[in-house]
Amino acid sequence: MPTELLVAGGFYTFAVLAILGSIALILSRVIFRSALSLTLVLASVAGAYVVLGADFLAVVQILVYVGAIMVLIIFGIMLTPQQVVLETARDPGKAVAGVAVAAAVFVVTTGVLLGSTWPRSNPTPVDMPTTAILGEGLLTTFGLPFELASILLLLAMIGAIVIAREE
Amino acid sequence: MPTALPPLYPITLQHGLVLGAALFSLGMIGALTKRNAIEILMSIEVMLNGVMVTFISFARHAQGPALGGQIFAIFIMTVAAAEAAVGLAIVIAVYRLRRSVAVDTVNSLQG
Repeated sequence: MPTELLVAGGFYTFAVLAILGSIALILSRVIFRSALSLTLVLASVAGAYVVLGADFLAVVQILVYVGAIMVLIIFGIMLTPQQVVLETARDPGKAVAGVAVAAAVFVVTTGVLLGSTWPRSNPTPVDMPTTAILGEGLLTTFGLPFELASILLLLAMIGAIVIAREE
Repeated sequence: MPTALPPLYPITLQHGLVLGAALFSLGMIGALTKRNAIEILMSIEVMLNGVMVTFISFARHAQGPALGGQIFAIFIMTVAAAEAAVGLAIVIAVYRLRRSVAVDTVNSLQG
């Protein structure tokens, strides 16, 4: 089926880009290059959302992450100068320990995920617009969390202003 | 024990889950080994993205009438936006106080 082939090609392309971007983010010593790698990761993940059938979320990912959060992070880098290059680890032992912990998390998680059987394991059709379904869900079933999310955003906005304000 | 690996094609649930786990672990490496607070925040964004990939894979796998997995991903995105705003405000406040964004220089609560 050509659609399946397209989904597989798109998924592997975006997955490889996202993982390479994450590795570049870890290895980069210049923080601005880390920020650019993060942009690559976020945009690739948005592409993966498209092939996984989340078209609305992919656009939201571009708007919120690649647009807003990246601008915020780059402003943060700009407002904290003279720290452009900062050596990665305090001492190599701690870095090795961090990598070991993360590798252990990956091995155990992947083992469990691949070892379990998930019922209904056939991929569903992906060419389906999700915006209407999501909007209806947010205003009916998930109405209370939706309202709480708006309060959370308001509080975060006020908190950020209060914390970062010049005295 | 993991039995046989799933085939590379077509894309099933497991592929998305492994991508999510890989992004989560790579973000965790960054969050555990970086010293710059802004780089740690960026690594946490990568971890959150791994979690969202997992939720969206499950939403595709078990496509209920309400797409609950994708709605959860929207809420993760909301919390991530709030976290980035407050986190960067804290980094800037710490920088103003300490002239440094290295997390191991902020140790006045360490006793």
